[in-house]
Amino acid sequence: MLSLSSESSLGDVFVANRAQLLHVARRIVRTADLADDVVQEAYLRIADGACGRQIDKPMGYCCQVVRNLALDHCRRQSLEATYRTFDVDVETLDVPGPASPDRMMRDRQVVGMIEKALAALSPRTRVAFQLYRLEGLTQRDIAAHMGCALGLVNRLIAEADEAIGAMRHLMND
Amino acid sequence: MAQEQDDLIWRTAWDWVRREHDRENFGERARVELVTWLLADPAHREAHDKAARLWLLAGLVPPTIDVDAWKKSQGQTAPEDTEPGRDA
Repeated sequence: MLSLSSESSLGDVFVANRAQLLHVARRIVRTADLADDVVQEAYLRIADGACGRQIDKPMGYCCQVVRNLALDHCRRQSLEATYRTFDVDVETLDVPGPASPDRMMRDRQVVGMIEKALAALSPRTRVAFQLYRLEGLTQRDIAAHMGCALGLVNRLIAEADEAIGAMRHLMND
Repeated sequence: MAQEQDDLIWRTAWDWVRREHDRENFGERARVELVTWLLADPAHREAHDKAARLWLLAGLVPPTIDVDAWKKSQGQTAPEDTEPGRDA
């Protein structure tokens, strides 16, 4: 089966480049242990078929998944630290932890639906979104790369975010 | 009315998640403001959690466009959205 072989090859690429992917995570999160956790979660998602189709640049996609999961870990940790300054223990709040395997399957469907919504946007909006969220460039770098004004990049990214934010119904479990 | 309230909470949560992603410009003061908002209502926390998950999943979408090919195609047409020329 074609889909099966492409999924396993993405997993193979991940395993073969694990050291480099750890490095990608380590540049974002604070400790080596955390980087390890991030890479492990990324592997689970990728082995599970984080997206259901063939990927042109498998290593690029592996880096993208690691980077975005690392950013999410970081965001959650910073938030937890701020909660503590309020003398609030996050454990006692209804803030859920990392994704469970059940949720990962649902997540994969949501990723496919977001992909469809993005495909309906103009090419330059998709380019801006891709460079910002998928390749991790700053808006300033994107302006240089696209040869346009920073204000336009800001608007294009806002447009893509608007389209994604409109998909909140996908988050109702 | 309830729907309007829900929409407002979602928009606020989504906006927070967008801002959190811009790490250079999201410092301790903003985070304190965010946590104050989160602690004000469980509905805020629920919306923020959903928004953060949706945000993460959007980051897992595989590339849908070839950026280099797009750039080349731009070279062939006049740029329409660059800053107006200084001598205009």
